[in-house]
Amino acid sequence: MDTLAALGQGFVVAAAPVNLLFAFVGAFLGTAVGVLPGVGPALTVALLLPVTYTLAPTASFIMFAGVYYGAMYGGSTTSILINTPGESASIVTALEGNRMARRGRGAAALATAAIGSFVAGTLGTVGLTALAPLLVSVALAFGPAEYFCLMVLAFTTVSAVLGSSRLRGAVSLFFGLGLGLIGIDTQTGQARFTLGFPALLDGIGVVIVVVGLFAVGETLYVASR
Amino acid sequence: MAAPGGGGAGPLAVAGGVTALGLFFLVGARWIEGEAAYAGVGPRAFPVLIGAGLTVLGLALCGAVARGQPFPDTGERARWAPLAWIAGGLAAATVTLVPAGFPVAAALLFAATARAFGSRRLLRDALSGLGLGAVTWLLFARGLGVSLPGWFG
Repeated sequence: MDTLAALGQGFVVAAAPVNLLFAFVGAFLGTAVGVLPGVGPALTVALLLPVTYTLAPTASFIMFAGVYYGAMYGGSTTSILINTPGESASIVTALEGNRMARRGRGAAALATAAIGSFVAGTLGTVGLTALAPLLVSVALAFGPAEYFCLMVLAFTTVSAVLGSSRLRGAVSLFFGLGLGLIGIDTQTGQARFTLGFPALLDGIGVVIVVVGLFAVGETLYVASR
Repeated sequence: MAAPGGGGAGPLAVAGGVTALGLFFLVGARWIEGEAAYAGVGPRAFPVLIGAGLTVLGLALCGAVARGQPFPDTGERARWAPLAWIAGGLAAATVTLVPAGFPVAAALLFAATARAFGSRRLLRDALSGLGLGAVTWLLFARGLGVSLPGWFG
């Protein structure tokens, strides 16, 4: 019951009004920056790091937690309203939420995203706190073969289930894999398909692909109709 | 673009492009040096795999277009002028970002995109873009310490 006592003490500290204010400020800033297409939760936390330099450690941790949860939620706003998912986690929100918005139910979609984010964040944090020691052995049992199976499952599910044509889904999958080929091979250190450009040695980053595909692509599509 | 119901130059160009990309990966794999590191899988393995897959899928797409399978299409004709404006704005912003700074690049991109959507008041759009870019630069470069080029270097 040591854990519960420590948790109780933590809740007492976190419930102080000034700390709750920091949590609110963090969530507000995190949502505001998380709305930007291409800026995902990790990048949001990294960008907002300097804001916490002048704060006490407890307050800055609480603020960071607020920033993180705000950033996780913030991607849903642009996904639902302008069909521009800013990061890979918001793509599914864009698929369903934008259709709701086009039928005039945008407010319901935004509320669903907010409530879902809250419930999921709470359940996730509780699960992490309570079950992490138990799941460590499961996580360590995952080897290269299991990861490969997970990848194959993800690839086949996404390309075959989403969309109306399996052929075009497979084309998209292989195109994405081909984009990932560009750069230095991590296993052998060979440069692949850089066409002589040193800037391509690091490969094409996920943020660039996401912004190019969703933000620029959506703009081009809407402007050309 | 193409009339709804499949066929036409657009889908055929896409299918041809996919096949060409597959062949590019296949042929380019020959130029990658490096020995097979483990179980015969070296730096050439995945380019060959992906190139072969893309070529086969591209040919299958060509077959689907030739058979007249319906491609999802709204049936409206696409207008190329807005595309050109947005692409040009993006190129201009990329080229002028480092020499002229972030607000100028934002002004160019904003004005070009507004023109693509039909706005005719270039000066107002450019000034709005300049203002938005300046506010963003202040927030991120001065407030958060991100290294963005400011006004002309």
